[in-house]
Amino acid sequence: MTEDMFSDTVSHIETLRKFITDSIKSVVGIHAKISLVPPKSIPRSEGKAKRVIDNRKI
Amino acid sequence: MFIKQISVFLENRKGSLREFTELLGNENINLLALSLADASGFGIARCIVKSNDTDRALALLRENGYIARTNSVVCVRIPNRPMAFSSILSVLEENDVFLEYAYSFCQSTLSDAVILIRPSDKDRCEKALSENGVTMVSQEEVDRF
Repeated sequence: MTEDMFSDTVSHIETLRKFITDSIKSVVGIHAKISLVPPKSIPRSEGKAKRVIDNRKI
Repeated sequence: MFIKQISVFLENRKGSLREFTELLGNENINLLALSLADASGFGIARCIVKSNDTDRALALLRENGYIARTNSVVCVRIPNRPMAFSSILSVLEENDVFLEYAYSFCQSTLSDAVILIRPSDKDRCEKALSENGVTMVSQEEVDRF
């Protein structure tokens, strides 16, 4: 969510969410569940997936 | 005759509303009226503060990462008796003015109820209300609450 996109009415924001959902569906072909969050609130990816958990007590 | 309102986008998570109210409270900004709208996954807080606190509140919220903006709402004085609000709604209906939302002040210096309304068309709303003798409340009056 950015300030330009934000509105004081729920209906406006829900329309925006639907627009994003439909746009993703038309481009990617899959239905995505969209959550609207404030800027910079999504944590950065920490790189590769951690597939090995080291439980050794050295 | 419009009142300035601050709207804030809130995340749907524990503590988010408290943090927002604390931020304003710590700067001695008092909420004269507050409305919360919840949707799936987010909320919108709409509030009225004194007019000389509005810019400060907005800047403070933005500095702290909030999405916030101001817009105008209509403030009406409604006699404290049955059917008073519905008669105002009838005026708006007859003039094709629809309500996006409405909420009231926590307290005021007036004996009547004071309701804030967000109409679909605020100019038409103001014209319809004034032509039908509905008392609107000015920003100056709100500042004295």
